[in-house]
Amino acid sequence: MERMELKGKKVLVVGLGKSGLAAALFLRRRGAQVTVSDLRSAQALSKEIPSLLEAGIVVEAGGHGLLTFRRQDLIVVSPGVPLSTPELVQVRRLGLPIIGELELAARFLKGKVLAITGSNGKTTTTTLSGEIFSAAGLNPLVAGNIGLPVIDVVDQSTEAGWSVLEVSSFQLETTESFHPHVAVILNITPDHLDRHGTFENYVAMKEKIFANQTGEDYLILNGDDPVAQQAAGRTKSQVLWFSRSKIVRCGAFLLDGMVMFRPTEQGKPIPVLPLAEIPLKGEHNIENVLAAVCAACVAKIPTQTIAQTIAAFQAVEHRLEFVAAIHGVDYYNDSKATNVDATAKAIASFPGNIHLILGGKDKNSDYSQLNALLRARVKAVYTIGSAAEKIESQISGVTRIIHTGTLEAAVDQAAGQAVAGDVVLLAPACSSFDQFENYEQRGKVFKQAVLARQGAGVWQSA
Amino acid sequence: MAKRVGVDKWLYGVTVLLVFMGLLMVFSASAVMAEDRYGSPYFFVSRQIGWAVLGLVTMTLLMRIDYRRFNRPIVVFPAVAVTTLLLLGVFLLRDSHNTHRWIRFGGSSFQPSEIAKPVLVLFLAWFLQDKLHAIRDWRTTVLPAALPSLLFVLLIVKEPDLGTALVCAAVTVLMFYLAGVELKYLGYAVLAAVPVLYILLFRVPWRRARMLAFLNPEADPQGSGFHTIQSLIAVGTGGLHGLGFMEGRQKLFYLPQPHTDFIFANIAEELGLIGGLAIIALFVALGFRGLRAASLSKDVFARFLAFGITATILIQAFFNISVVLALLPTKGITLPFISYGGTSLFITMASIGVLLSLTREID
Repeated sequence: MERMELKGKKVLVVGLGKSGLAAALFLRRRGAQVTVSDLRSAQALSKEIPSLLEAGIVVEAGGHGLLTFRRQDLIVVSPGVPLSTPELVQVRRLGLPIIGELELAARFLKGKVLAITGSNGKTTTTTLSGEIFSAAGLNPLVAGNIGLPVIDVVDQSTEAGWSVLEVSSFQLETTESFHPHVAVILNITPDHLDRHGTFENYVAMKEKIFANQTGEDYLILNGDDPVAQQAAGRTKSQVLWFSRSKIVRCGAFLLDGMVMFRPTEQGKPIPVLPLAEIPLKGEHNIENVLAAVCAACVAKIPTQTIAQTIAAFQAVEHRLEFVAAIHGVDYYNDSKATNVDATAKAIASFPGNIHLILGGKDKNSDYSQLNALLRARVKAVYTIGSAAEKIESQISGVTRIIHTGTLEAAVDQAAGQAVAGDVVLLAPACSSFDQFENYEQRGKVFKQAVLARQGAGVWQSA
Repeated sequence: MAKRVGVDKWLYGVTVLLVFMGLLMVFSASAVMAEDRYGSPYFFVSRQIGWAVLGLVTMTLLMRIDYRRFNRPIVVFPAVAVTTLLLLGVFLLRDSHNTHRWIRFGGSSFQPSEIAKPVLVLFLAWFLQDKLHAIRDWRTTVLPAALPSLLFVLLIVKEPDLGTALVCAAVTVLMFYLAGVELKYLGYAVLAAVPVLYILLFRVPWRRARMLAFLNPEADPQGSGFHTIQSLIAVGTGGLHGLGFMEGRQKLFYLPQPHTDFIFANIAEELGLIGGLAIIALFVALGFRGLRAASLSKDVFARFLAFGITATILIQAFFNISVVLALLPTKGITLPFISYGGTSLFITMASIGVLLSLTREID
């Protein structure tokens, strides 16, 4: 991969998210003259600023100064910052190189990369793949969108090692030389349309994951996703498929209750593990497991190791996470469902009798897409947050709708309405930023509210 | 979650019950005629039992096979090709009742148009599963998907078997509707079919006679109105409780084909309104379980397959019973599971086997 000399270079980091901060510190360690710029006020950034100043980084808070963008050798953009920001558009016109944190990391990362992208299921697949690679003794570095910026693991990477990376479309937007040995596209459904504009744009963004791949590399695609299928015709790499409904030419599929893997078109399918041994709840998790099986098989990991790791795998926090069973009512936390499609998948994971908590900050979504599922499986919808009114108008008449405003009130109401055998599900189809810091906090608040009721339940029955 | 939870026992039970009822009624309806024509009252029912046993074995086998094995071009294309060849083949062979519906080998015969229905469902399920995103594009989706249907329908109309052709067309339209094809295209198709149907119904002399008989059966009670009138007499005679099993009189050479197309008239006569409603209830239960499988299935192929299989059976039952009750003109559609006819029984049971296979993954 193309290395670059950073010593003495003037670099501007735009946006101080987790990865922006990590990138700034990395650049500084490599001897660059680093400036960071963020729209948030100095107060909001009070946690980050001291460490930056200490490292000798110039900090600009509360807006981007016009001159800040001049006379830089390189500009590194955080995934949260839209490329349509006026300053960036102007700088791009001047011909200055603009890259993202992932691109910066890619230029320094050693060894082979397994990169996983998609609209939904990235974190589960990345975590599961990481565990399978660990169980096989490959000591992978697991990073990316998952919480640990890729740039933070660059220094630990070795030529012989593996990195397992969760990459979002935001991160792919600003890559040029990112070249994973194994790339996975789980699914492509409309999400983040508010930023990428059109669906086609979004698809093109995801396809950047294999733009630099060669015949030596592997691309793993979803055989049930027609949009992903179009990608197969546009790549030079060897394509493997995973599918829940088809027997694929090569890749992972289901047959007679077993997860099977066929390494090549001529090869015989090898049984990996019984479907019943997959501990994860939800249809989409089957796809995630199949994708992870493909990636692990490409890395020549023995099927026995793959099977054992999958069977012992626990669901990831906030992704259809089981919280508690109170008076026969199961509570599930899917706070990570920040778009309509993820919510649809969460609903589809249960046969019926669902009490669904919807709402938060609207992302220009069309909630009426949920109507068929709501009618078939959902007993009542509890709306919260600023998107509540929009949701109520788009799904009106489909099922019972109860306006609750806050998450705590929603849990109270749902617990009051639910009877034994029902499911209370937080899968809000919106981002959390109107009422919470992030989806993690929203999930925690939900779990606390549920567990508080468990206490109450014990109290009542005692 | 796609764990194996066992097949849909309700669906299995309803199917076995329908087949059992069918065998009883075929015996009741055909015994006297069989004795008269072939010298044994068991002539028809013994053949039907043979097919039912074969159907049950095949159904149970297919139920144990993963339905994904059919979701492959290597299965779908040969199935369409073989069906086309069989449908063409009937024209080269001897005709029976002035029609080309049957292919004979050895002592038995079978009807390729019966195979056309499930093969069409399989093809449409396979083809449409990946086209849902491009369903508005009639050039790459609607037209190629409709081609085998058109081919089958044309060949079956030519046999001539307008009833089965209409069933094929109706299933195609319903599956297109499920796939989300714009209603205007379905509208165009129906509009285009109207003049064709008009010619087939009113310009072909014997169908014209049937149509006129349907509109006014009393005009020619001994001729073209005979079927309809005898059928209504049978249903009316049954009353609430019916005359009792084996006690029906219309089958005694009044009602033509009492063991095939008009078996429901015999049921209504012998088992009354209660028996007739019980049969209808069994079909409703089957439809409910089939559509449930379609709506709860995990993948698109399984959903289309379940919907198509269920729709084929329900459409036939609906048309057949409507004909018996003189709500529709006589058409020559059998009552699935019940009517005498080996190919129909066998193929319908085999389809249910596939439907049962995909219910294994529904919880």
